[in-house]
Amino acid sequence: MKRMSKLVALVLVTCTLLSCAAAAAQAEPLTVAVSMRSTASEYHMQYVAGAQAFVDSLPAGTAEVQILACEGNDDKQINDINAVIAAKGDNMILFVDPNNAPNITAIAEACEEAGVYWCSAWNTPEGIYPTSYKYWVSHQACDAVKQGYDIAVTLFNALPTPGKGKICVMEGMLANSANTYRMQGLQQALAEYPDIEVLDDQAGDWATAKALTIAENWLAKYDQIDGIWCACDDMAVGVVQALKAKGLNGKVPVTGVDGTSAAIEMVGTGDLVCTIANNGWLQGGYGVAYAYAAKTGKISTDTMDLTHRMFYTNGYLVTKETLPDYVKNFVDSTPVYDYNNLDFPIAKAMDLVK
Amino acid sequence: MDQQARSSRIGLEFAQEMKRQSQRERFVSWAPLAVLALLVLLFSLTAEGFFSLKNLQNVLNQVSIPLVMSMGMTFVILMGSTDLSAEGLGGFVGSVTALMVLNSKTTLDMGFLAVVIAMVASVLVSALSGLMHIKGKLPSFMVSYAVSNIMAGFAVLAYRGEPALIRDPFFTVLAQGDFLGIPYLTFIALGVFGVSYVLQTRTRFGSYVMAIGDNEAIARNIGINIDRTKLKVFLWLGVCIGLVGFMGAVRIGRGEVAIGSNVVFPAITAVVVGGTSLSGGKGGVVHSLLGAFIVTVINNALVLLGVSPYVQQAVQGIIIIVAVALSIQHGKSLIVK
Repeated sequence: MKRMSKLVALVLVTCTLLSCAAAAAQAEPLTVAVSMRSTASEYHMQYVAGAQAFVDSLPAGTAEVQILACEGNDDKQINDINAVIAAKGDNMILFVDPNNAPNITAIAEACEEAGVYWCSAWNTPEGIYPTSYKYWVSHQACDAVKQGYDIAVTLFNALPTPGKGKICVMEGMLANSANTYRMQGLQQALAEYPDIEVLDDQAGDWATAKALTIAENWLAKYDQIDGIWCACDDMAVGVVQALKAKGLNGKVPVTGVDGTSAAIEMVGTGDLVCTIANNGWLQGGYGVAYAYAAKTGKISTDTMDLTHRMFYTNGYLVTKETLPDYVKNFVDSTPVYDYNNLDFPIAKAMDLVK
Repeated sequence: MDQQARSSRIGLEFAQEMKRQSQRERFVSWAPLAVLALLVLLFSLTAEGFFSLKNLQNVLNQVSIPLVMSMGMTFVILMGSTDLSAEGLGGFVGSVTALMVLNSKTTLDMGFLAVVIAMVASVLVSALSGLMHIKGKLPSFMVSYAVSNIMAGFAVLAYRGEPALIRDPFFTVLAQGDFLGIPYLTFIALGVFGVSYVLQTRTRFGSYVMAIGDNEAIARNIGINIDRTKLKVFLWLGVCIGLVGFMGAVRIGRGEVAIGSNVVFPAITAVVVGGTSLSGGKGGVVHSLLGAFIVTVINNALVLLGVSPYVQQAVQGIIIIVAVALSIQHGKSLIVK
């Protein structure tokens, strides 16, 4: 009897140990972390949708997306990333849109120490590049200088007298790199169009309400404004509201950048002359695809060339002419890419600041 | 005998000092108006297009939101508290209103009922925030900050990253239309000012708020129901925040959480620049009306002056400090908390 109960106990213990071992052997899904500013931003949520599309292209149950929204707080972004690293170790990859450029260094060091492969978009300080790190696979951005230039040229040609007139300039947040580069693009275009006069230049801080107030003040001050160059869509929405109140929407051409759904719609109604869609699906999807390829050994940061480490992706200039094509590919359907083709997102290599 | 003479001299000096103080207070209570007049004069001379009918309409339009917000805030500050909940709560009201009227995102089309629902929600949340402060004895500053965050979270959750565009023509007209050149939203704001003025000067509630701000212990001793009065202040604040959220959404034509950002501190600035004491008990809604105009005129003129955006915020900060210094009471006899 005693021997019997010993045997039962032995079987039970063995079974328990076996089941624990089986559970442990079953691999925990890879965490695909996406760190960006806010879940309230339509564009940032495109990153998440892109990352999810990539995860969906993997065998079911092998990876899952985790969103880290820093809500505009630098410390929170770093703390959140460190927390996930502490919980997951190297069983994760990461795509980051740094809240501010200096955050990159802290993130790079944390990932380097933990052995986490990661990619970044938009902000990085001069001289801080993936090429100095093993686990920082690539950095990408839309060419913001080109964006600023393209919308400016589209605006100038849409003025009542093409290439000639008085415009107002609504900047984003001063000292923010996207704004600085878009302004550089505007300056390039202005140099090519000497008959364009800039009446005033104000900072709308990327905010709809502030842009609305500034535009109202412009309309009170100037008798004639031929066009408004606006550095982002959210501000363009505010500018168009101010024009609507005076019955001037559609008559005074306005630009935007970002390709938010509101802006796309306003291009359709003629309230906006153009916007540029950054294509967050492409950025987020390939951001995690590069990190995954490095983690699984498909590519190696030791042998990758400079073009694949730092590159520009193409935005999509949406005007009344290109709108139907954009709606077909990006609004009525979500773009799906071949994430095995890592050359696809590269528009051109970045010029590095030595 | 000596003792008697000394005490009567002290009494006389005290009475004279009190008289001087009350004269000074009477003089200082006009200061915000003088500051506003000075600014208008200064900007009329320097800023192209400032002194014009078009810009007057513009200022009246732009003052509407800061004015409504400062009307709610005045009572809170008069009783010595501070409330930051408008940032999240205003954003929430604006976001859900846009989702409930005819819009680009949902199939709802509730019209004015949507505004009523959102307003009731705002009042309830503000009451809850007030109760946590009053009954839970938690600082209003902290409670309202937490409530603001909670409501900002709910707002984002409501529209999930893609704000709803308002398509209801009634609200579009409300945002852009005017009567006798004065925008409709300004009428709403002036209406709120009128109600606030009556509340402050013609009701017992107004006197109670002043008494609480002046000295809560004395107010309690003379039988004022402190908790109930405070709760009423938060109810009124809820009404004002609700209106701010609604007006913000209507003005920009869509509902997003950012509607609430940058409304709290301009309103507190308006209240203080107007001459209401942050420690409570002094000032009132007329002061805040002037304060709201001062804040709006400064914003407006800096753009008209074409001040470079790189220095604009700094210039604005300096003007605000000068305006506060000129308009609040800061004699030797007062303690500034």
